[in-house]
Amino acid sequence: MVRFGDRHPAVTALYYAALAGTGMFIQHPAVQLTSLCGALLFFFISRSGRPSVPVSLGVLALAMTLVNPLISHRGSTVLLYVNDNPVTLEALIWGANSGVMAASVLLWTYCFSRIMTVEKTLCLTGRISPRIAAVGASAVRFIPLFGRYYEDISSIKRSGRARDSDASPAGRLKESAESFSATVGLALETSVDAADSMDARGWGSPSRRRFDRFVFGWRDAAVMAAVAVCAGICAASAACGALDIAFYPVFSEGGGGPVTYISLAAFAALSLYPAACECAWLAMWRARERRGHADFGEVFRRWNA
Amino acid sequence: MIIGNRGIRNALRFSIPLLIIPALTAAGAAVFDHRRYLVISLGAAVLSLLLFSASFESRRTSSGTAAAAAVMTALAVTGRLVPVFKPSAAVIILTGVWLGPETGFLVGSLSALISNTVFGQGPWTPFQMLAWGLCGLAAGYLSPLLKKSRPALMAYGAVSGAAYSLFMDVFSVLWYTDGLSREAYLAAVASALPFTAVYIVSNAAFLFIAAKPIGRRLGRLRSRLEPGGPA
Repeated sequence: MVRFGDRHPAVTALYYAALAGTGMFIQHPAVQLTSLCGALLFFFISRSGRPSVPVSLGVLALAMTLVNPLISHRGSTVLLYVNDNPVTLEALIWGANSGVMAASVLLWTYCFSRIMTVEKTLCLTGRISPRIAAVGASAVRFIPLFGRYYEDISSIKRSGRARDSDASPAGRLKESAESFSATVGLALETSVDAADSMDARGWGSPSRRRFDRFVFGWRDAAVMAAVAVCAGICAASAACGALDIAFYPVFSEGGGGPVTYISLAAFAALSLYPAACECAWLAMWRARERRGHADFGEVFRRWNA
Repeated sequence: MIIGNRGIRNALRFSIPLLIIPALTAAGAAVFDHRRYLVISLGAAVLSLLLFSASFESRRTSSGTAAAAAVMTALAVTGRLVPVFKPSAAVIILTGVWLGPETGFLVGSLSALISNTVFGQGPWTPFQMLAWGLCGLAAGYLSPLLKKSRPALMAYGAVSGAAYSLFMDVFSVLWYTDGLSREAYLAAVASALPFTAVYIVSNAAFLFIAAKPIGRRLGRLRSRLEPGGPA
């Protein structure tokens, strides 16, 4: 059992594209609720972040629910009048639906940005565009380096002052501007060295090979195929109208046949897959620990931290 | 290496602007009912970035330009960590002016992509990459004028700050509502007005401060990288 985020980056990228492509554009409320459930389950099972993240997204969804009936007066079921403008049930439902959609897409994105580290992104872009990936990789490496340059230069500047009290606020500002400028100069001079070492490692030569930490196995291929099939079912049934939903003038469902149920099941499988992966991974470790193969307490302690 | 293949690369370079984007627009209008504007514009943004990366791979980029682009990207990303007044756009504009339009686009789009790992990735990332990339690209095309006069550079910074904000407002309208109506767009522009003002002021101010020292250094770098070339 492998954690969802430990698959090959291509799997993660395809999964996210499939989920965003279907969840963001299919308006069916069942789809949106499933997507939100999947995102919440994955968020909490994989300990992706603090509980304040889903709470603030919930506030966003609530705000979108309440604002929509105030700006949109379409719909036939009038609930009440505000300033002679009708507040309709349909507009409220539309607002709730788009609020749930926004919250779930943002929560999925939050989880994925924790999984898709820069290293994985560069592994993928390196296949499409090796030069741009090289620029991105060295930029990522330069960021902490420049921080250190800046610290060094500004501590040299500070030590050049006679007393700490000599510096007025304006003087300090000038000092930090000069330090920044010197940092830029040092960084650009560094880039010439970097260019030389890139040449020495065969930059731009056709026989150059890449090295990736990630290995693409048959399980990754199988997961990718399954994800593509599920997303394909959803997209096809959305295109042929089985997932159509009308909010105005009256809330009504377009589909309802077996195609609708099959595609809803496919979407549920798609959006619950990450949480299921995490559960299986946890169950595997708990079982091994129970059987006394080894003490995996350390794994859990680190993971729970 | 998908686009390492020259045939595919050339095919992409011609087919994206001439075939795929128009086809996407037509198909999106026909197939998608809900959020068709968002899906079409998201697709077009991603395809334009792909188009650019294809053209960047095709030219022989020297290792020096690539390393300088990496340095400027790192500076722009670090600049975005500064609270409120962010020098990132100024760094991107100066890159475009001194290292050329392609490098300007690359630095703009990459710094949006990398800094969003801190500020949050989302459906807005391709739009942001495109917007910042275009700021750097246009600065590169205007570079003869912008190198000569600092007022023109500051004016360009102010205009590109406003343009960036107006461009991202289109996205927020598409993201939060269905379709693009004039009222919703004006409301988004009005609510983003403080941010637009901050962009304009910070771009102009940072370009005023940084144009000479950073410009001098980039010019020197260029003359070191291309001995005998234009300084």
